Amino acid sequence: MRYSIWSLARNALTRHAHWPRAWRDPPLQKSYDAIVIGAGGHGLATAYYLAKRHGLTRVAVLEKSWLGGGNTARNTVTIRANYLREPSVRFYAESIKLWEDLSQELNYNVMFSQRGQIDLVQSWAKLRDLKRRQATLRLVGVPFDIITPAQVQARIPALDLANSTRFPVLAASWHPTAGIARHDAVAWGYARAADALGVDIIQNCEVTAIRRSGGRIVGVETIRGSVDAPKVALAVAAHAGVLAASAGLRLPIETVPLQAFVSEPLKPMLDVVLNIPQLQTYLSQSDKGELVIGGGADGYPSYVARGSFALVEDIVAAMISLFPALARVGFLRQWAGNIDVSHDITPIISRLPIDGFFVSAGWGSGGFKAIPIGGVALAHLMATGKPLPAAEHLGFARFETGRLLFETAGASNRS
Amino acid sequence: MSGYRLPNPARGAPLRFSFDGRPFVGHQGETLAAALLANGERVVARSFKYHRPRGIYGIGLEEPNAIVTIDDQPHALATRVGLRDGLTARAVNAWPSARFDLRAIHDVFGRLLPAGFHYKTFMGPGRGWNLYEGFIRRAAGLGRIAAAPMQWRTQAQHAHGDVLVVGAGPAGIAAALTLARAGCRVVIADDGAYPGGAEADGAGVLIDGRDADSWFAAATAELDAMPFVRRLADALVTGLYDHGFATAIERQPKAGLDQRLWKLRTRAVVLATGAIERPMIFVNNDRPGVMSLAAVRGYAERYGVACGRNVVVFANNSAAYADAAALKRLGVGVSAIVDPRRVIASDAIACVSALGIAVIAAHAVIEIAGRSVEGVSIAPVENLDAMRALDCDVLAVSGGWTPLVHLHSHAGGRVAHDPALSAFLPVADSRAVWSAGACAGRLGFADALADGARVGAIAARALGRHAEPLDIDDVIVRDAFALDLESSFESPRREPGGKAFVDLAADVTAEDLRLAAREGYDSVELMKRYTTAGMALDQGRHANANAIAVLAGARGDTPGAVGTTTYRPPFAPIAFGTIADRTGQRLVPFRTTTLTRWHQEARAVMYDVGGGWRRPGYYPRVGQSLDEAVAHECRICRAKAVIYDSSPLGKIEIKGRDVVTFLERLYTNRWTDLAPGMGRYGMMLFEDGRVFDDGVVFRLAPDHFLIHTTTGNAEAALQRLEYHRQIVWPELDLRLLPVTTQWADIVLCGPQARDILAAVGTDLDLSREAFPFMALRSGKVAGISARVMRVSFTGELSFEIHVAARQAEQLWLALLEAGRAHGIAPLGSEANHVLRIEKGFISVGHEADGVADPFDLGMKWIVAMDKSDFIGKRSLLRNQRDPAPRPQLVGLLAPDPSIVLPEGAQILDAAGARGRGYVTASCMSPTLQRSIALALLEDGRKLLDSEVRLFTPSGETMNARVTRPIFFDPKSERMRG
Amino acid sequence: MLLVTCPFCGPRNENEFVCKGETVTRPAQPAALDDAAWTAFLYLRDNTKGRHEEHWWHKHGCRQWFRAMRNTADNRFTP
Repeated sequence: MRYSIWSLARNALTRHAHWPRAWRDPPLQKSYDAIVIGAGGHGLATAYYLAKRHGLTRVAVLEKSWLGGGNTARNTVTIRANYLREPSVRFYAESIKLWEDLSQELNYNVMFSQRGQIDLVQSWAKLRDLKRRQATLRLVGVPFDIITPAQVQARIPALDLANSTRFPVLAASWHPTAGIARHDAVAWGYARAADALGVDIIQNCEVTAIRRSGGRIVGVETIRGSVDAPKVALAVAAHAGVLAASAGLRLPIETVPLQAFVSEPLKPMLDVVLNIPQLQTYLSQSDKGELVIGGGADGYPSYVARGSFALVEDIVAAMISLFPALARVGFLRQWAGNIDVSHDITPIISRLPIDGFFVSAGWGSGGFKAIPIGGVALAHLMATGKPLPAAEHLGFARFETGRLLFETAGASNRS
Repeated sequence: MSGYRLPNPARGAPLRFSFDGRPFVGHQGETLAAALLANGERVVARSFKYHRPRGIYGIGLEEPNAIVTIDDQPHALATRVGLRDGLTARAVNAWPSARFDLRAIHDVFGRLLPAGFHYKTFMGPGRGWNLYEGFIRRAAGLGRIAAAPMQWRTQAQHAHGDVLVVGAGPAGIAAALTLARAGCRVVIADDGAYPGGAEADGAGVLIDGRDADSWFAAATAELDAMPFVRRLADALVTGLYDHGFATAIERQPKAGLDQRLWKLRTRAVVLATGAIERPMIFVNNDRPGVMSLAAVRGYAERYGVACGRNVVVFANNSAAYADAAALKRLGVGVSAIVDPRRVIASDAIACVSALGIAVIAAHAVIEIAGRSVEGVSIAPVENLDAMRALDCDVLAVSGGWTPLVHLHSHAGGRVAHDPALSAFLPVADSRAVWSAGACAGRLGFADALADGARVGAIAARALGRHAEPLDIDDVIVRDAFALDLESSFESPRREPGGKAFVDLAADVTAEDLRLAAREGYDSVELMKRYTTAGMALDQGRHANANAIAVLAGARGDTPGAVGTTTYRPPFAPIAFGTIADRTGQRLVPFRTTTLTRWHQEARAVMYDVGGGWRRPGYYPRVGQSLDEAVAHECRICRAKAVIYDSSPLGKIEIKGRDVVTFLERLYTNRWTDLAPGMGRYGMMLFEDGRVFDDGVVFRLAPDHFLIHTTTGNAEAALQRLEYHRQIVWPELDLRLLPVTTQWADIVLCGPQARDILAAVGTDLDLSREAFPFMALRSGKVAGISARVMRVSFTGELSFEIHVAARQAEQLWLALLEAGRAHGIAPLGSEANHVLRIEKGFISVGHEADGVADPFDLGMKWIVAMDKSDFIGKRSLLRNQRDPAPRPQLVGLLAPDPSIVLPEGAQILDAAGARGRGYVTASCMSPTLQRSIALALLEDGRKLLDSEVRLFTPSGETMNARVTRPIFFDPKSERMRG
Repeated sequence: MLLVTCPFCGPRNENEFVCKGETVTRPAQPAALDDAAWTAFLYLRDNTKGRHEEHWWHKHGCRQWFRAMRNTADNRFTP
């Protein structure tokens, strides 16, 4: 059933008793043309585009828990393209284009709010870095301006610039096409659309091992039995290394905890995404009114979805330095996920050294914004064997040549 | 029809307060909620989504409705706000007031707004969501942040111990006594002002003949007298983290402090966090007048406030009967108990019947008709046709008890469903975290007390201590009835339709949950996220147990199979200001040198640079712009002399037999041939070949070196050196000593530098022959012991003088004095930047940008590839075989010498579509009187003297000519002089 | 906040330390490695979920490096 105000109104008459399932609960088949492991945003988007753009519908997405329950569910949902490296800027700019029409494409309101992002500049070194980014973004065609503290104040009246004495705000960047979306809705929207095209989304079906025969993939082992498939893709974030190990491979990623938290819901007070790179803190306000706040990753490898309270203190102190009025507002809930950080902080969409084995990993703290383009790219790679041109730079080859794409935005890596 | 005060001579002094603009009178010691109830206020809030009128439901943290704004605090629970004279409170989410709210229209459109409605619409036309978002955002959210925040005085404090006991009810106190008497260091924290736990537990209890109050008083006095016991009151433990770390918020710890954040670290934790009562589910169960039975009893017991004149109880368990009886004995009119159970324990029935309370068994409350409780409709559970009205003005509900397992779960504990209690209980594991009392399912005073003692003994044993049993023989509780719970109960419906709320705070109904299950959002987390049940201000404390039961029913599963959502800190909201202990300049530490005060007095514009240092950027004279000041400082440097403070540069001394071997492995350079008393510019790489750091290395003696690092990498360099010394090559004999802050580092440079140094007085022979370029000499300068090095970063004759940090100012002033006649001036980092660009000296972070290797930077002279190995060599070999174009250091000249090429500008490829390089550093050169720039450009050395096209940050294009990356004194004769 | 046991100073708060990550052995003869092996040393990691041998540095303390064994599935250190 198509979602619309009309179907909503019609169903209201029958007290919503007849809404169909958003996705089936299909049985696990013995074989598929392709398997995507991980029903997060990337995995579900990949399956959708495999079906939609490449006509591959005998596809299963195997999820160990509930769909969308990994890092997609824990997200701080920033969507932006203001990266340092030109190929990355092009890649994320493509993603933003896909975000702009995503709700219509999926017939599911993912609540993409293209409200813009402001990055505060609080040191001269960062202003230099900002100018370089500005040249790159403008070259790619992404609007990106440098604005004054007065203009920042006008956009964010609740900000108290005078209070930020430790790091006075010198300038800021304005990225108008950036925004946020509702994380769960993205997973649900892709799941429903992929399911409608015939993709099997199988929850509570943990993949325990990759099956290979020499240099070829033959399928996977799950808690519900063996499944055959000539193409298998990993889209599991933190656990990519664990699954790759079952195929005898290692990946250039390290899994670390990443925390985030929300405030009590407030009436609108922040209409843009605000990034404070000097203090490794960023925040936005959800449509429900909660401030969604995040920062850097905890400093040790871990698969435990928990971090240090000391890091929360740092992030809160940074936030209060700019919004002293938040001192009396409540810290409502904190959570954490585990992110896979690649050696150069740039993600990996690539074939692996076993025929039919693909990986989408190393998204670190920046995977959400790339869900649409990441899905398009991985689907393209799986279906055609060739990388999407916009994603060529993400292949594993860069680790072999040493031509890494170091990107300083996002969670840090200890080398 | 409404609440009133019971006769009670022992009230506190009267206070005036206002709510939604109307004046009221309350009493000292009351909460805002108690005072509002006493004044007969029924409607104190509007619900989150539908804006339905709501009343006070609970008495503490379990309150889902009564959220108020007080002064500059957007959200406070009326049940936890202590009344004070002049208090002004407003209901949130209601305009103009709770009693009359314009957004009540939402309730009318309720059917169009089921769970998840916003995912099914608002998609178009075009960028549809942006159009609707504004309306949704203004309707959502609760309070507003204050325009003029008041001061919020907080403090953070640490406490350590052997065991943290959370909760000072019967279980907590019993555990604490057991542990403390066994000699453990105990921290016990309770959310209340004094121990005793849920007030209802204490009434009617005799412990060895003593009433509960006096037993608790004696236990508290005993604990307070022990030196290794720390008791925190009005302190809510909000989170449990790894390795025994916990946070607690103490309210009003002392005069002048609003809150204190406790950071607690103990080896073990005993949780005695209690349980909260569950609501009943029926149509319109959210109306003002529906309250938690334990809360109704609590208002009467603690505050002498009757919530109504005719209370009817709706309960599915026998513990409720004790509460009903106690309530009646306190003088509140309780007329009946409606109980869906067919079989009810006879002692419970006898107890309430003796007090004149009717028991209507096998019946349920089906719905409430009006907008407020003026009576309820009840019917036999199996025959809804026999529905009739029952008169009452308060419906006190008790649907069972939910143990508070949050803290147990925060740091990884698991829970399992207990069908008898219809609740999730903590599962014991190997962590040193135990649960006792109601939170472990031992409801009832006597059981909780015994359990606390038992768990205390287990914890003591785990801590290596022996505990004696608590000396209690006899605990008598007047009305103690076994729970006998009929599992989470949802009343049947007479007709479809109507809202039966499961989560009052999030406005989520039972039908919403069933809709979620129908649509496939049927795991507990999907249900939560789709319906938002459990996501409101109270995070589902009152609601989650019922939500899980409803979902289980919809799925045909058990609640145990459904499971719970993840419990996360904090247990209750914490004010951000209490967490953020650092304000103003203390936000992040910054570092200064012993000369910083001088720089500031000289009105230098100070910059925050790497490593947390503050350094002078430039020294503008009155009216000078940055460019003018920089040009001036540069001219003085090349014509006369300047002085600058280089103290933050990293300095590490390395000594030992194997120091040369070590340095040859860490650096690209050869060091064996460096004579003592000489220095050499060195470079360190990452293993992957990229430049990590650079700096001048001096040999003080055959086995003693002093290395310099960049300011920003000083700590990272020390870390890397120690790692390689201790872990990678532990067999090498050497030791490291960081001396960055021990030595101040003053640089005197310019054509007059030698003369000024002679003028300030030194025993060193400054002649070119005796003191060549890159030499190090020790002696006295201006009477101060110093190491002097001929190192230049500006390209001018330069002396870097190291003295003990405490003597820096003395030397600085002496040099300024001696140099005055020569025209000396201070130099900032901005001018330094210009001078080094003129010389084409690379800067880590600019040209060494985390991508380039030393060959890319044109520095093959620094790389001794004939060494068998050094960090980065293997990758350099790989890079050399890389056929793809590599970024190479070049110079750029704008065709118009007055135009400064913007830093960060991209250099376009031949097609003009992509970047193949960028401007790393650019300036107007006062020395050359034209603009110059350095850049990294793919295959740049092949493009010398050709034109390239630039794309600037502001979006323009301009041309530039590629040139060699050095603009002034290419043979470096000036600094070698 | 983890409690990390420095073999020299005893149990201290996590923020006194730097965690370098899983232990990696630097090849004694990098020149002898082919490109694939060199790539493996530079970038590939076990990233184990479970018993994880790692290196820590007591930065704000004794400045000593030490090896620790921690289970990355529950953050518990084993002595």
